[in-house]
Amino acid sequence: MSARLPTAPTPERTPSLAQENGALVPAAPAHVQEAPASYAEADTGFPIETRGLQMRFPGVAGWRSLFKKAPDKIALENIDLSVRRGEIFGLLGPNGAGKTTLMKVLSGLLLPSGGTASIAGFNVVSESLEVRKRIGLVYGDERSFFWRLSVRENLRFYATLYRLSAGEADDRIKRALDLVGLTDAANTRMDRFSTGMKQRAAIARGLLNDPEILLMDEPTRTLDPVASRDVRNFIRERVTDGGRRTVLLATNLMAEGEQLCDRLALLNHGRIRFEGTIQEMRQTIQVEQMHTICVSGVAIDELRRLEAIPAVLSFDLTPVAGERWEVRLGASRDSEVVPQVIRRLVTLGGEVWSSSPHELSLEELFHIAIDGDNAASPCETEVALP
Amino acid sequence: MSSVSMAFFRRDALIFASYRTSVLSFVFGGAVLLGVVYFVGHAVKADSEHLDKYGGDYVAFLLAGFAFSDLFGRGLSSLPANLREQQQSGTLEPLLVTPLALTELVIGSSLFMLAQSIVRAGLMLAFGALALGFWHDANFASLAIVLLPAMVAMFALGLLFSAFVILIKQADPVISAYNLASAVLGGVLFPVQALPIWIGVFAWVFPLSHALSGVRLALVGEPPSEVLAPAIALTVLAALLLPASIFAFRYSLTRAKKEGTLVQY
Repeated sequence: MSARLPTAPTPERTPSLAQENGALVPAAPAHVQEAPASYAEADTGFPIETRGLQMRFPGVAGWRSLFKKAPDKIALENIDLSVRRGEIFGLLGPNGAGKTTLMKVLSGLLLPSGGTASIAGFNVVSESLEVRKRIGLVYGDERSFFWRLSVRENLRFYATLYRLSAGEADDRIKRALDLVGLTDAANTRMDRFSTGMKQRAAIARGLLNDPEILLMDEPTRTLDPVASRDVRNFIRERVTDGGRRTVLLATNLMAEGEQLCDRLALLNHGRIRFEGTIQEMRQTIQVEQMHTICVSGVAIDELRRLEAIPAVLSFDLTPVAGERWEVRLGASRDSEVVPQVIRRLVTLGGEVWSSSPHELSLEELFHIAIDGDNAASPCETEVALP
Repeated sequence: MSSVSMAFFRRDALIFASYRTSVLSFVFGGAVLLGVVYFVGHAVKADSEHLDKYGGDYVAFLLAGFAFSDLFGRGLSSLPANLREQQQSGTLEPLLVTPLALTELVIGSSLFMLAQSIVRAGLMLAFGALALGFWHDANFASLAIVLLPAMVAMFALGLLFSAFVILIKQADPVISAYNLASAVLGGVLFPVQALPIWIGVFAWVFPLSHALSGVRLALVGEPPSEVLAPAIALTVLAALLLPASIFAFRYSLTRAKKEGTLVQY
C-alpha cells in the first residue's frame, strides 16, 4: 500500500507569477534589471540580446512531403533575452527545448525565421563576420576536432583562422593548454584522448581567440560525474576571466545551472518559461516553504489535526523507524506555522527529534515552471505505509 | 598563398601523412595506372586519323588523357569531397564559427587534393617525357593558355557540386554520373572527333573535352594560336559556370542555415 502526498496546487502558489510572452517572470523584476556593482564599468548594452527571436524548421514528412507540405517545427518562439556583461548565464531545459538552436542562431550557424539577435552589439545575421570575431563556441560534441592531429596542431589550425600571428598563436596555444591542463598531452593525437580530454580541448579552442563572449553548448554532456565536476570547477574559476568574459551556458543538468550560473532562463518547447536568478526563481515559483519535523509520542489522530491549521498549505505524514513520524509541512514563506506546530506537538507530550527546512532543488523548480503545477514537488515521493 | 590557405594545406597534409600507407598507395596507384596505360596503349591498334594532330601515338594520347583528367577531376571533386567529409566528421560547424571567408573555405578545402593531383599528373607526364620519349617539343605557353580557364571551369563545377552536397547530401551519384559521362565524352580514351557528330555535340558542354584537346595540342608543340579554340570554349564555359556556381553555393548555404540542415548528412 502506498500513499501519494498531497500535491494539489493552492491558490497561494501562483499569484506572484506573471505571464509575459508565455514566460514566468518575477513579480517584482526591478532589481533583476539592475547591473551588479561589478558590471558598473561596463557599457550599457547587453553583450547578448535577442528580441522576438523565432526559428522554424520545415516539417519533414518523408515521401508524403513530395505531395503535401508538413507543418513547420517551431524550435524557438519569441525569445527575448538580455545577458549582462561578465555573467554566466544559463540556458536550461530538457532535450529538444531549443537550447542548441539558440546557440547556433547566436553563432551564425542558423538564420532565424524572425526577430533579431545581437552579439556585442552586432547583428548576428547582417554582421556575422564581426560576431564571429568576438565569440568562442564550445561544443559538447567530441567529434568536432581533427582526430588524427594532435591538440596542438588542431589549435594551431584554428589560431590561423582567427588571424593570429605565429608568435601570438604559439603564446595563446600554450596558455590555453596550460589553462585546461593539457600541456603534457599537447603533441598526442586526439584519437588517443579520453572524452574528458577532448572536452577540455574544446574549451581551449573556444578560448583561443580570447573571445568577449563564450557560448558553451552542454560542455559536460559526454563526461562522467568526476570529469563533469572538474569542468564545472574550471568554468567557474577560470573561464569568466574575473568577469571580463560573458558566458552563455546551455545545459539540461539543473545542478550545473545551479552551481555555475548567475542568472538563467528556463526553456521549454522553444519558449522561455522563466528568466532571472535562482533566488528569484525560488521566490517566484516556490511560494511554499517546505519543512520536515520528526516526532514521536503523539497519536496519529492528533498529528492529522495539524493539517487543519490555517497556515498549513500542504501536509503529509510518513512513518519512520522507532515509532516516529515524519511530518512534512508546506507553509507560506512568511508564516510562523512551524513554531506553532512544534509548540502543539510538545504540549501533546510528543518528543521532537528534528526540525529542518527543505528547499526545492532547481530541478524540482524547473518541473514546476514548465508543468505549471507542483507535480515534481518532493512531497510527491511515494512512501510505504505499514 | 595566404596563411589561411597554408593552414588548410598543412592540416590536410598532416592528416594524409598520419596514415602510414597513404604515400605508398598514392605511389602504387600511380604506378598501376601507368602500367595499364602503357600496355593498353600498345595492345590497342589505334590508327585513327583523329590521333594524327595529337602526335599519332595512342600511348601518349592515353597518358595525357589520364594525367589531365585526374587533375581536372580533382579540381571538380576535391571541394565537395572535403565538405562531405567535414559534415560527417563534425568539423564543418567549428570552421564556420571562425571569421573565415567563404572563398577561403572553398579554396583552402581544395588545395591539398589539388596539389596531390598536380604531383601525380606531373609524375605521369615526366614518365612519358623521360622514359617514353614523348612531348619533347611541348609548348608551355599554349599549355598555360588552356590550363588556366580549364581549372577555373572545373573549380566552378566543383562549387556547383558542393551546393548539391549541402542541399541534397547524397551528391555522389550525381558526381559519379558526371565523371563517367565526362570520361566517355571528354576524350580521355579516344578523340572526341571519333564520336558520331550528334554525340560530339554533347561533348562540347563538357569542359574536359576542350581541356584535353587543348593540352594534347600544347604537348605536341602547337603554338598558342592553335589552342585558341579550346581555350576560348573553356573561357566561355568558365564565365558561365563561375557566377552560377557561386550563386548556387551561397544559396545552398543560406538555405541550409535556414532549415538547419547544414551538418546533416
